[in-house]
Amino acid sequence: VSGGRGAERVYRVLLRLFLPRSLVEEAEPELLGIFRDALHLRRQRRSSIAAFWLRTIADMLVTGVMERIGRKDGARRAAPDGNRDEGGVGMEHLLKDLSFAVRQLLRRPGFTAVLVLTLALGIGANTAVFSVVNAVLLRPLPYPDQSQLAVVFDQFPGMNLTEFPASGPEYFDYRDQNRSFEHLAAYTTVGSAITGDGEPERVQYSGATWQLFPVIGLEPQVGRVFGEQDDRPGAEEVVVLSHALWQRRYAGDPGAVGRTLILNGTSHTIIGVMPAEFRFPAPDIQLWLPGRLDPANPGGRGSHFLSMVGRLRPGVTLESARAEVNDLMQRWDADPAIDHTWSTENHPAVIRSLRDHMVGDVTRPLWVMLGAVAVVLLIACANVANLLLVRGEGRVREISVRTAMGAGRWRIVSQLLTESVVMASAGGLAGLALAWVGVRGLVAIAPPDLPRADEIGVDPLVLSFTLAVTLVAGILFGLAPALQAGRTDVQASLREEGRSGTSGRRRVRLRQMLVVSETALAIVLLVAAGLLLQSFRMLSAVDPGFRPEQVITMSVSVPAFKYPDFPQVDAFHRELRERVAAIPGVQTVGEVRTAPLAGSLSPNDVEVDGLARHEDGPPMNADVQLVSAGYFEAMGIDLVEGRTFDERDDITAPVVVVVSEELAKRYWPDRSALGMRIRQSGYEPALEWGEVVGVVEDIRHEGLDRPVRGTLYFVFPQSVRTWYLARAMTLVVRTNVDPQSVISAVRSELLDMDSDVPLYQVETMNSAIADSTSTQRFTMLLQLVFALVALTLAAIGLYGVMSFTVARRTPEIGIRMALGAERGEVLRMVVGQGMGIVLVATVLGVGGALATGRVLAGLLYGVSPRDPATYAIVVGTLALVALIACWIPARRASAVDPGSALRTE
Amino acid sequence: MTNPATVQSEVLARLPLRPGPLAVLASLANGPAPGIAMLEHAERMGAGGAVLGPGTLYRLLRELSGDGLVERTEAPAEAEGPADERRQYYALTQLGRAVLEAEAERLRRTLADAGLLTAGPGT
Repeated sequence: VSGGRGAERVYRVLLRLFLPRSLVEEAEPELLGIFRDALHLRRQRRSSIAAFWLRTIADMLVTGVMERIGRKDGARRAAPDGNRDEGGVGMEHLLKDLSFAVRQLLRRPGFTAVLVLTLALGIGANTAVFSVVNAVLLRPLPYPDQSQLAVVFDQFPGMNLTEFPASGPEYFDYRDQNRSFEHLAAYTTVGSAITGDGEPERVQYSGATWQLFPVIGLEPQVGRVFGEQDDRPGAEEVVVLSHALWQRRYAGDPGAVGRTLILNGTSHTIIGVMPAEFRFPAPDIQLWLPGRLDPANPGGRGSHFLSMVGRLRPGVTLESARAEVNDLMQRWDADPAIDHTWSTENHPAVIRSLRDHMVGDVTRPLWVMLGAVAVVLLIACANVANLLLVRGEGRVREISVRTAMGAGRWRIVSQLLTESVVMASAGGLAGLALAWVGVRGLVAIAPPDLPRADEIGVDPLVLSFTLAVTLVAGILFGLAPALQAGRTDVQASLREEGRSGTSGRRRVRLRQMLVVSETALAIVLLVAAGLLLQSFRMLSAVDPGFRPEQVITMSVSVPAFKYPDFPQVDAFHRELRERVAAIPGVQTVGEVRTAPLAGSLSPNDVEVDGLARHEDGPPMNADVQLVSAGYFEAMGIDLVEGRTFDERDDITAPVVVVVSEELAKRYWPDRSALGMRIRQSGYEPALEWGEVVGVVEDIRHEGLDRPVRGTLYFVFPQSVRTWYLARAMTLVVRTNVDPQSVISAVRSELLDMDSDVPLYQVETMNSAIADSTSTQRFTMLLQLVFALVALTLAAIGLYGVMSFTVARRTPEIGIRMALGAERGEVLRMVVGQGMGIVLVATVLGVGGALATGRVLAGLLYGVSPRDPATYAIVVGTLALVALIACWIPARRASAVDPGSALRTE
Repeated sequence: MTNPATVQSEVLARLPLRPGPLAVLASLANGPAPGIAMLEHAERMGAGGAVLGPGTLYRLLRELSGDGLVERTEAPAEAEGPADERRQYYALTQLGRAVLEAEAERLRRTLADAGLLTAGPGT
């Protein structure tokens, strides 16, 4: 709709909705021509799109009303009194209608409040949710020709790795042989410390090949980006700053370019600053450094650490790029000289659009949410219609009196119409306020990893759209009773107060249908909410395999420029653990390379002594983890067999390992793993064997809803013999006081040891668990809110229908009671009628929920989309609410005094 | 041909003009114009409440042409190009110009009577 054609389509639709057909037939091309010009002008002037649409809708409303109440042809004839000014009279009427409408609405504050609130919920919730969906899913990325941007990843289907980094040789092979990409960049994301001026600060930076900038296509805001000449081994050390870091550390001073920045102990010259929109590969990236990959020394083929992003050549599609990479893979498959590279079978490459890659995980929850909120809008519209029908019924007598006193039919129609428009506008305003609050609320409770969250704001186009939808609903249903009222037989109405006759029955049927549909829709939403709630409960009950209570984690990275050799690094970490252990309130301390729920582990190939790699054998691959003595105790991971690491296992001692239960069962299914030997494979020269000294419980490292994976634990002091020289570790501190209370003590110990070593990523394990389920909680909470809103609206609708039915049938009930019917009988009759409506709605709603359950299946954990308990609870809740909604009018009916009821007749 | 007295009474019978028609007629004072120009003019004159958009403008134009004050016309020679071909241009009729001038005169007199109009160089 954002394009001119879309806007024209919307305008055409509105024309048909608001204006009489004769006018549309007569004037559509001309109106469209003027609209087109006005739209063009608005774009040129960059004036507010919301104001533009509001004005357009107002124009159409006034035109529609005037056209209907005025004469059809534009010819004006002089009236005897010289007043030919019918348009003026029309405008005067409009103003009178407006003030009358406002007074009418204020006379029934309850009715008006319910109606305005209903509209506000519909408009506000839709605008808020759609604004999020639009910003995250629909709006293009802020990069030129962003549809040409694509990411390339490795896949290892056997290990369930769908997006895995590539190795250096794979990058060079593909970069040099493909014809699909104009530029292909490789990058990594690394954490490092800025030291020197000011407090040491831990930042995330990206080491990227020079192609990154032409790929993304944004120019630097200040200075320049690095090019091919900067991206060679041995070139001068340069760095490009993010807009945020430039603002924060250099107060946006353009003179920052040319200055130096100390990163990891090395001086880097600042050569440029990127604009704020440049947030690749992630919003928290603060710096970009040349990646300096060396084609002459590209690293091992099994060493996967490079992510790739490329810009497709003009005219090249994702499909053709995929076809090309398939051809390449077949060629590599056929070449016996190349081992361990992309192959079609067990190690394919995958190409996805950058946008899909960025927002892929949240696509389904967001669409489900949008679906739910659209249903809320439908229910809101049905309720508005219902309420307006009730009002129309209630005012037949008043209108009849006015007709009898000589008011013209169109006068009355236009007056009722004006009331609807005033109500819809009030609802729209309240909806706008709600949308504004709602968007902020959504962003506040959104999962921390929601992509593009910083781009979310109330979307004016969406607001205009929902405003128009509810306005149309208000007008359509405001008009229906208005037209009927306009046609009312004056005599009959005055005599019977409009409570009998076939048209009355038709109206009742219409209203019952509306209530049935909104109740059925509410059931669909309730079931969805119930299932998500159950699923969340199941997820929360999952045992992570460790005890998160009273545990806090803090990361520490020891800079290479001060601690070049491993013994120094090891000594630093050992001293830090000892100092932290001495802090009052600390129970146990350990360290780990990647804490649970803080990121994936490296799945590396392993070799097991006495177990040959075999195609039908177990996968020879394990998640590799590095921990210190005390880690298992601090994290609360139970020992199953043997022992955990301790201070004996130092750099000179025999290499020992601990394995997870899953790994022990996989390689040594019918014997104890203790004493067995295992190591990482693929290293030249081969690494030392490690002897299994312990087996520990499996943990859910990647998330409560993710499967446990076989994990191989090495001990930190032996890391250079078993893996690599690790510098960054995460302290795991178990306390017997509030874990937050030890942070400052840890910080001051660290400061005391070395002021150049920053403490970062401080988080309690409890909050890490909460974060890991935040998407599910977010979806569940919103769904629950929508479902409750829907239930409330449906109950209001049901109550409205039943109250009205009772009012209409009061004389009949009076007769029944005069003829001897008991109060209980009357009660049963009314409640029975209401519950009949609910029964029909339940059948339809349950059917609808079963049909839409498949959409939810991907979001559920441990619950079937057809979970009978959930359905039972929903139906029970609904029945209860419906019973209350029917009970109140039923009691009123049973309290009817037969005498007075008959007298009114 | 037409009796000047008849024309005079035709003109006077149409005064005073409402803000909407006045804005439309005034926007055509300098020659034929398309709808968008009239909308802009009305907004500049502060008559945006009377001429909200295409619909209200169209009704006014229909009323004014039914009254013989404006007429549809060809696009002027200088306004060419594909976009302009689709545009409908309007122009004042002789009667329309007479009514506009009479209304202007009436407004001038009204303001002058109230002492709100400072005398111009010609008066």
